[in-house]
Amino acid sequence: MNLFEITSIFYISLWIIVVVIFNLKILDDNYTILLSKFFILPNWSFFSPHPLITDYNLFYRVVDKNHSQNEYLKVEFANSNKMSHIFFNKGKRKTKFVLDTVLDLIEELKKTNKNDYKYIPYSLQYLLLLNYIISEITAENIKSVQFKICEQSYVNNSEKIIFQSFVHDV
Amino acid sequence: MSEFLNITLNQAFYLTEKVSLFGFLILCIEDIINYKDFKSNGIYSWKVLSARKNKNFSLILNNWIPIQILLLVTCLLTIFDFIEFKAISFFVITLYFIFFQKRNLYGFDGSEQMLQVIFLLLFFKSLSTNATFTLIIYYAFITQIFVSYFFSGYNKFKGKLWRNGTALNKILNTESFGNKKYSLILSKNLKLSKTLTYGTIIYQMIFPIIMIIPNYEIRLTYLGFGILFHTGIGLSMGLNIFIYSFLAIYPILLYFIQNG
Repeated sequence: MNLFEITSIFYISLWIIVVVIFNLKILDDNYTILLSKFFILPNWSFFSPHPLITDYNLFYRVVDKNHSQNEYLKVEFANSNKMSHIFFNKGKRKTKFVLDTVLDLIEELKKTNKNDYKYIPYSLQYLLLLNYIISEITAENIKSVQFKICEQSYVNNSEKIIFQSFVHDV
Repeated sequence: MSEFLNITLNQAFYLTEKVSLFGFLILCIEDIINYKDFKSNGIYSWKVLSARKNKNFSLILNNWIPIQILLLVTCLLTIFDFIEFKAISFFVITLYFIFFQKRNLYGFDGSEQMLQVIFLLLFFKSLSTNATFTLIIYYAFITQIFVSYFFSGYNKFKGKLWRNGTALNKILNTESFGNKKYSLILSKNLKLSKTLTYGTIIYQMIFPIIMIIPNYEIRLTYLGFGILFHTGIGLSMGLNIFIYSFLAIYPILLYFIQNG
């Protein structure tokens, strides 16, 4: 074996050890960030330990230029699963992306002191959702928009508001 | 039966390569079809995502769809063996996954992680024809697969909902990743729901152990269950790439249970 092959084997061996340590969840965040610069770190969790058991729905309402306010409308981003999705499912990335963003925004809210809520609109998660919702508005002559996130549980068939955004001029 | 399933290591790698490339091809087509979502007012808007501090590689990250089209072409050329030096394709695809996570931050799932691991190992494999080196890459594959199964089960075991046997039913009850039809079946049959939930944990956790026990029939049956397991999850949750990415590693597992 040549030097390249020996180096590759050394790197791959190290990579496997790092992946095991990373998945044991014993690493400090700083070490994880450092290691992720050198190794691919797959997180083998797949809906665990806390699986998603509720839906997070996005709603928006708009005020038009005549100052009339609409009812909340649902943004349809989750596509109900069909058999054909085993071959092709163009909606699944968007569903995952929006849910990840919503869940991260909720995490951000939990970490934020109530006095600092005014800074939430500057968070990436908030901006992503706002940008997405604005793109979904079909009505014309819009002056401003507000969105909310609702958690829908099918276990007890309830829906509760998790977050309501500020009102933004469009 | 065992003779029918006999494959060489090279055939195993070849099949793994083709299935994973096919999975990646579907992934590319799905993203290209959703090109509007990558525009500045779309959900994956680089205008918004680049608001983060790190703006390196903007040229690539801002032109995601043209890059994806190039990748699609690369993928097609590699599938049909038009590219001689496949290491380039595998390297570019591995880079794609790194850039995807860097660009989008969210929306990267477990099946894409598996594809990324496969392509990185295929990249190393295609750099050398040395038999010992190929064998070491093969064992690296096996180790990564065992790690992925074990930790998928172990992390489930740590979760309360998984341990009380209700996780699967509750996941299937959601609109996002669920399936009303299957959920209704599980809701009406709690014993089945618990069996499938515990079965998932046990299946994944003991996978590496079963694969090394000295009984070919048991190992082959277990692999057969694996195909059903991944197809079932893919079907019920609409996770198509999950099926391709995990089934891609099965030729290598088949070689492993035949030869150790």
